[in-house]
Formats: sequence, C-alpha cells, structure tokens
Amino acid sequence: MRRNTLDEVIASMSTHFHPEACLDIQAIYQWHVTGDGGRDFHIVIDHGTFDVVDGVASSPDVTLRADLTTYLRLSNQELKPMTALLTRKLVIHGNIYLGSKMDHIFR
Amino acid sequence: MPVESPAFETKVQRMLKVTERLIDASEQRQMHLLHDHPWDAPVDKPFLMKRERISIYGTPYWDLASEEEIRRLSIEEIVTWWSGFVGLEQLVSEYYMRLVNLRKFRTLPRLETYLKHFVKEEIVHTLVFLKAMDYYGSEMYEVPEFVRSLFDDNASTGEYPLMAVYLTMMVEWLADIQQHLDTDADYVHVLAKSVVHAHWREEMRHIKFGQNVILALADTDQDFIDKARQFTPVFLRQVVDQGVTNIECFDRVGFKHPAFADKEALLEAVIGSPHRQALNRELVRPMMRYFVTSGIYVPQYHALWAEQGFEADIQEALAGDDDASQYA
Repeated sequence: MRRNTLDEVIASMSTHFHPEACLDIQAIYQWHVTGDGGRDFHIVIDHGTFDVVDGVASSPDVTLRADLTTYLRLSNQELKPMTALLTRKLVIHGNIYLGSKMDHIFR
Repeated sequence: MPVESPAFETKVQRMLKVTERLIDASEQRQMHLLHDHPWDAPVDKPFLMKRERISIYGTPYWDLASEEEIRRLSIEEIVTWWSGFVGLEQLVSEYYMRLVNLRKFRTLPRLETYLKHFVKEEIVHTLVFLKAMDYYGSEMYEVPEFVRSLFDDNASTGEYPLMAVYLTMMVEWLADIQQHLDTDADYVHVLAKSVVHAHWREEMRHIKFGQNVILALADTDQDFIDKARQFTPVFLRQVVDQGVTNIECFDRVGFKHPAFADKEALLEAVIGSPHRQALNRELVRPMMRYFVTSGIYVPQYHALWAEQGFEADIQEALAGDDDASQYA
C-alpha cells in the first residue's frame, strides 16, 4: 500500500526493516525533508536495530535532503535513488558507502 | 605490510623515482594559456563531441532531436565536463597548497615539490577551460554537489592525506579517459581537441602521481584502506553516471520535442541504454585493473562491486595478469 505522508513512512519502517543488512553498521542517517508535511528527523542504526528520532543529529554519518514528494516517491520505490540524484531532487552528503546501504536496510 | 619492511621501502623508492620523472616532465613542458591552442581558429557550427558519445545516442531520444539540437548538445555536454574540471581543479589547488603549507608531506619533500607543479598546472587548466567556454559562447555550469563537498565529506585521517590524493586521482582519471574518448573524431572542432589533448597529457602525470602515492603509502593508513575498499565502488558508480550528462544541458539546448520535458525518463533511458553500458565498460576498464592490482578491490567486498553494476568489469580485471610495476 502506498504511504502518503512522512508519518506513514516512519510508522511502517519496522515492517520494511532488514536487520541482517546492518549487523555491522553503527551510523546516523539525517533526513531533511522539506516542504509542506516535511521535517527533520534522523535514523539511528546500531548493529541490527534502528530508532527514529525527530530533529537534527549533532554529527550524522550521512545527510540526505529532498522535498516531501521526492521522499515519498523514493520510499514507495517509485523513483530510483540514482535518478533522484541526477535530477538533483536528492542531495547526499557524508559517507556514501553507508548511504548506499540505506536501500538494503529498508526495502 | 609492515611499514618498516624492505617491501614497503621498495615501494616508497619506486614512488620517489616516479615523482622525480614527473617533476622533470613538468619542468620541461607545461601548458600555456595563450600560446598552446588555436584560439584564432574560426568557429562555425562546431561539433565538440564524437556523435556516438553524446548522451542520447543509442536511445529513442536521438531520433527525436534535430541535427542542430544534437550539435548544440555536443557543446553543452563538453562544457559541463569543463565546468566540473574548473570546480575540481580550483578545489584541488586550494587543498594541495594547504597541504604544502602545512607540510603534510614533510618526510617526503620531493612530493611537496611535485605538488607545487601540480597546482600550477591545475591553475592554468582552469583558465584554459574558462577561456574555451567563452570561445564557444557557453558558460560555466554549477559545480556538481559531490565535487564541492568531496574533501569535506571524505577527510583524510592518517599520517599522509591519502584520501584527498586518491579521490583526486580517481575523478581526474575517469574524467580524462572520458574527455579523451569524447573528442576522438576528425570532425570535432580543432580547439576542443587541442584543449582536451593538452589537458590529458598533464593530467596523465597527475594521475600517475596519485596512483603511485597510493601504491606506496597505503600501508601506512589502515583506516584509509578500509574506507577506500568500501567507498570506491559506490563513488565510481556515482561519478560514471553523473558524468554522462547534466539535466541543465537539455534546458540550455531547449529541445523542441515534448518527450525531452520528462527529465527522469530521459535520464533513465540514457543511463540504462545498452550503448551507454558498453561505453562505461570501456571507460572503467583501466581503472578496474588498478583497483585489483593495488588491493583496493578485495573479495570481501565483491558483492558491493556487483551491486554497483561492476561485476563483469571486475571479473575481467581479475582475469588479467597485471602487477603494480605497470604504474611506475
């Protein structure tokens, strides 16, 4: 079922979470989702577990920025991350290796 | 490999020998802004890229574009690369001069000497590219986000600034192979060929410097090795795909056919075309051999290379019989 709000995406994260994909990862992913209905939140991954925290982390490993429409399309797998990057709808900073793991951790 | 071992010392000596050769070559011949290129050559509807390497070649969009639109795209796609070079080379010039001033290679002073040549050459390159953009009536594109934050996002942590050297080497290597192939046709305008070929000659020295620094000094910094092994396939995928085109090029050309308005569909057709995959394989082939030879590729991360679309490329490199001496 399509998730149409940021809260719906966050609420469904545990059903999309694959702990086996992050057993060796300890990292903070900071999202800046802009526009109406968007907000800042970060995902703390800690060796096979995750936690979602509102607001801005002090030293995230990866920072991702997109508007709400793009974020929802990415979350619903309607837009490929590389296409979003190339069309500049998604901007990523930080450790791109960890960034590439995001697709495997939540799918 | 222990950094006090004879094998390590041999690698350092080889690096220093290569560096001496590069210093000699730079002292003998460097590009000149005003004298090296045919700036007075007439410009009449120039083509700046080999047709087969223009982004939309091999996709349905090729037949939807007029000949004039294709010609203008050949200019814009070269200029977007030159803009990337200007951004990177300005960044590298600042960064490397800072390394020299901070004496980051104080134990290897000939590397510092070479870095001064390196920076001087980069400054001239940026001036040449800016002048060439003006010559063809185009303008600088915004520098890609990943270039602007390249050194901030990937800070060096060891005794030597290896990550900065490695990133610079990788981007310049890929970009120069791309440019060299892009302009390899008789009908490509004489000034573009001259600029790209002169740049290629000097960048080959910069790339050789980077290759040898990494081959010699990587053993001093296990953190660098670990990060480079994880980071390289992901970074390479991004640079290869981002290097194919820039959505702004299509806006500047102003394609008439409405299909060009859907940029997502356009980019997916371009990046995913079998023709582009073949060009990409040609592009990364020499680099793959280096990654295998230098130990950047290790079987532990094979799945990561495969995920990023380099399975066939890495298998081909693994089947080779290369050794590190070819980079000396």
